[in-house]
Amino acid sequence: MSLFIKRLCILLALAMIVQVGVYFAFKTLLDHRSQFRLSRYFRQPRHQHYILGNSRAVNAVNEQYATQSKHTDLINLGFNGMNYQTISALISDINTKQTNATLFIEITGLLEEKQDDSYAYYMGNSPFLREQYKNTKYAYLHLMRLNNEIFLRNIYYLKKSDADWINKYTISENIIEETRKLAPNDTTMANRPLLIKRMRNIVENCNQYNNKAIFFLAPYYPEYLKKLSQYPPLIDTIQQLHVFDFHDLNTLKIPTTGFSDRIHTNISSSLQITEYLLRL
Amino acid sequence: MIFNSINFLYFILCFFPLYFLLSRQLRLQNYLILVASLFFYACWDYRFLALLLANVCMDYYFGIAIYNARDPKIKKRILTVAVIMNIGILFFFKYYNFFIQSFNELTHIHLNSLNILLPIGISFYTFHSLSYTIDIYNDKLAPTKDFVAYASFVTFFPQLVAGPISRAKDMLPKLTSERKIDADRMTSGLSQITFGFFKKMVVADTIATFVDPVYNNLHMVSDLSILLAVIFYSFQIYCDFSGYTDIALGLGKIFGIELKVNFNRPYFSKNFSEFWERWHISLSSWLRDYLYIPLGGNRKGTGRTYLNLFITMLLGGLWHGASYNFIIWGALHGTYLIIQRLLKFKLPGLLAICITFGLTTLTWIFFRAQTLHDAMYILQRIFMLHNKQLTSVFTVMKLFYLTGILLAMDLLFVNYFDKVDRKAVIINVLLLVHILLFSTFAGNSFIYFQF
Repeated sequence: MSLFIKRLCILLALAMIVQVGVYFAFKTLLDHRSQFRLSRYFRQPRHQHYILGNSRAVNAVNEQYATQSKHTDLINLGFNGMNYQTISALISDINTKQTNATLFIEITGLLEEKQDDSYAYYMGNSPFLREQYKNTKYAYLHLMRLNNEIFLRNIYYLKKSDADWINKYTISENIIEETRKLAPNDTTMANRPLLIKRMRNIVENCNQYNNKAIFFLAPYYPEYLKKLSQYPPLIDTIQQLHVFDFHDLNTLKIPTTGFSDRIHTNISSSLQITEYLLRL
Repeated sequence: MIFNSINFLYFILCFFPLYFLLSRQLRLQNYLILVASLFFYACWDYRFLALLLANVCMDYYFGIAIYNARDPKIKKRILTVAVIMNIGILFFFKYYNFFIQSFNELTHIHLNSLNILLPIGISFYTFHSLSYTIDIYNDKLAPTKDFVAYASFVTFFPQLVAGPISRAKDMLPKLTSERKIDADRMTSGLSQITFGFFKKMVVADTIATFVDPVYNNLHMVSDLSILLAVIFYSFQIYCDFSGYTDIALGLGKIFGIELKVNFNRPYFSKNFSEFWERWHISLSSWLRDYLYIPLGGNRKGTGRTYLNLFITMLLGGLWHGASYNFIIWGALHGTYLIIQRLLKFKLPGLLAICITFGLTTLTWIFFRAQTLHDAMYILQRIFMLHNKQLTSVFTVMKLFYLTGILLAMDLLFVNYFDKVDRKAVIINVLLLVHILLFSTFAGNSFIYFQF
């Protein structure tokens, strides 16, 4: 019995040592070499323009077009499922490192309530993200910080940058058909007071550091937008307040071929959106 | 309380020291197993505890009655009553609504269905106890006088809710004779548990994050996503179920009550007979011994053999659940077994493995799809393969990596956990690293719990 307990303890101790070693080995390599957008940011955080938000922000703004064709210093920090807590932490991080910058924030990310632990990957890179994960399992089990898609993307982008990532797909007939059949959705964008409060926090935070926060709503596929019953009151509420620099990009009249699915735009419309935002 | 939950860890941390404190007192140890197993079951749903206990008592006394009856006709009558009662309870909870609905559809008569909850593990513990009474009837086993040992056999928590389906003649001797502490066997059990957690928490649950959304949104995803989901589901169900079994077997080894092997690298089978000798072995051998052979097996001519095979597989499908999908799944496997017997030639090894895996994978579509219509729709989409858009590229890359690891483990380190050496320690550490790096920690339930 004691021999078994001894073996169990040795196994657990070895596993703990190895997991810390593996974490630091991966993290050191990836922090220095990966061309994934957030790793690029933490290596070189100072830019003129920043894009923040969830996957809708990633798809809407074309970083390569902005930097190469428009010769603008822009980094798209948007990522799938990025929620308010992460957006807020990144904004605080940007504010402590750069002034006189413009932060474009896609607002649907501010309504994301789902806890996404992917950003624990960067808790060693930013005190604001570290604060979010203190007293969680990520503080003690280092390797778990790599247990997410950000880690895989960092490996994938070791040899090339994701700045030229484009969404080349076009919305399929299947999705169009299913969208037509969808029942009206009255939950998306429903929590307007919370959104306004969060937008105010962001503006106050940016103002302290002389950075400018511009909010935008990336386009939805028009048939789907019709189903979002909370969309018109949301736009009305924001516009009537007259305190935010807010742009509803659904007014851009993107054609069907400009969508990859019902909530994401593709390469063709992202050029139009990028150009629009850079003119602001 | 599932194995991959924090509650189970607390449960084991309480059970383990007590169990070994009582290591010299067999009877008390069996009492502890029984109480712990009932508590384990009550954590799922205490309302069905009475049903479980009723099943235990019923078959214990039926066993004694069959053994004591001198007249073979009376023996047979008691057995018939025992079988009807066991299958009747199973039928009521699991199949009543299905048959009522099917009857209503066929006859256009409206009989009311009932609001019945399925007691977890009922298919497994019914088969545990049924084997006991049938074995006594067939003079393969004498009834035990130790009720606690018998009840511990039926309810033994590692195997209670999802098998393996144990036989009394294998298990009862382990519960009625003294169990010795063996550090090597316990270490081997620990390794097997580690491998089981890797299969479940890393491979199966990660695959589920891709497969479940695809099966739930068939009309919204691309043909390529559906095809990948169909292929990966084969690995999901294998890792989910064999992972559970590895944890159960590992616990059994630690407690000195070894359970029977339930999986033996099934996707390396060269034909369907071999597949069923390697997949859910405890169920297939149960169906062989208590259904196929009593039906006549292969003793009554070729045609009857095929019919027996088909009936056995059909009922094997129905055992999994009350739905036409499971019936079709079983019928397809029965058909494959018959075709395999009709075609007498042998294919080269790798080709045979690929064909068997391919057909098994296609057949899993009926097992996984929510409706028959969905299954047919999936088949249509994966054979057309028009839309090859893939949005979750990184998840798919991860799935290829993890299934690659799994196949490498099954090819290069077969049953590595049986040995206690440095290689096993290194593999265990690497598996634990993979658990931290890739596990979803979502506490997902095991697929076979629903059966």
